[in-house]
Amino acid sequence: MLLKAENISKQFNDNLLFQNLSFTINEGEVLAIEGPSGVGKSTLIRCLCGLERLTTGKIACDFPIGLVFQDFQLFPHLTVWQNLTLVANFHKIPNVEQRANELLCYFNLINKAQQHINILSGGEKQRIAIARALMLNPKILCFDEPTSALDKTATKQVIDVIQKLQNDQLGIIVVSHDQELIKSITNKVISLK
Amino acid sequence: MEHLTKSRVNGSMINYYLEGLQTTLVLFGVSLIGSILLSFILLYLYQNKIIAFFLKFYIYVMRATPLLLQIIFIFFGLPFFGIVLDRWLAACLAFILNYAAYFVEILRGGVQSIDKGQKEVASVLGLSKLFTFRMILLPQAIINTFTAISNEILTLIKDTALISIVGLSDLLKVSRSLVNATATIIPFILVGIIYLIMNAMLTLLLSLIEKRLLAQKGI
Repeated sequence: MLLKAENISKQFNDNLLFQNLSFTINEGEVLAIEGPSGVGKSTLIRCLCGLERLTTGKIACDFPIGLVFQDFQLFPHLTVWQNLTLVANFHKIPNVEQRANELLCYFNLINKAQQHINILSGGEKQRIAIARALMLNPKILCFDEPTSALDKTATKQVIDVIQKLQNDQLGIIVVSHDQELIKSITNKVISLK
Repeated sequence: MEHLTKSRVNGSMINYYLEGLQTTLVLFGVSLIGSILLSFILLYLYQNKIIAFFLKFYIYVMRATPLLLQIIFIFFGLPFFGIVLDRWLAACLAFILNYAAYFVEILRGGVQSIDKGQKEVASVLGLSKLFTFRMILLPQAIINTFTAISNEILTLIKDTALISIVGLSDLLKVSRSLVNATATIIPFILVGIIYLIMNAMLTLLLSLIEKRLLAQKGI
């Protein structure tokens, strides 16, 4: 088991977002969190990644968790290559260049390595954001609305990538209200209301 | 310098200008580098609420009082408190403290204009506060505010003329002495032309840097 959430709740002032949620994530499993806007789907993965504190409950996880933001949040002043290597260099991860090369090949982006972020398409940015998160070898990768800004072709590519990562035994958590995405990739669904 | 004779002046005017130019450029260079580096440090410290409280007061004082008064206070006023500074040190200190305050305010605006998701992604990626500031926030803040920073740099080179108050022979002081010695206003015209040339070169340099920075952002 990669992650276990027990009776977790989150409340902002008087607004209760979710209450007493419990779930687990295993290797190669895809968990979808669905529900209408404003119910706390994104807040739930922000809690998992440590960006928000839980009101009650606890999350047990001994592995690094990666997060791919809805708006990617790539570093706009850096090239694709620098986006991947900067973070890995900070953590002194061995063979950074080899790893970055492998990931760029894996995502079919090797010819974009020296380009700046602002001139890339949404789909390319999405794949670079995933590659950057994978540079740190996370065991769990969270996606916040991964297809909301993408067209059909790019959405298909993201689905392919998630399935590949699933085959590589990563635990995946996807926040989405894209039913097609949820149906095609997930093993478990949490519905927030 | 004040007691120049007309014949001596005619022979060595260019040397006096060079001496003045050197003073102006050294003060400009030291103040620019010093104030920019200080502003980076203060901007980082600004993230701490308690330090920010004191920094706001410092910035207020620096921006709300004339630079000339600050120079006078540091050179002529501090000795009353037992602190005697050399004229160069006093001038550089006044310029660095004053300009750092302006640079901090400009860069702070630049940091505020950065999407807060950049800080969040840095946190998820496990980057330290200092590394996030140095490699992610500061470069973007500089790119976002470079036009305003350029304006301050152009103002700085003109403000260096204020140091004649502490007795340093900058371009303006040299030309004033030459006007007195030659009884013509030609030295003033010449010094004006020197400032124009310096600013034209600086403007060109700054616009080249700006182009490079924007290219870095893929614009």
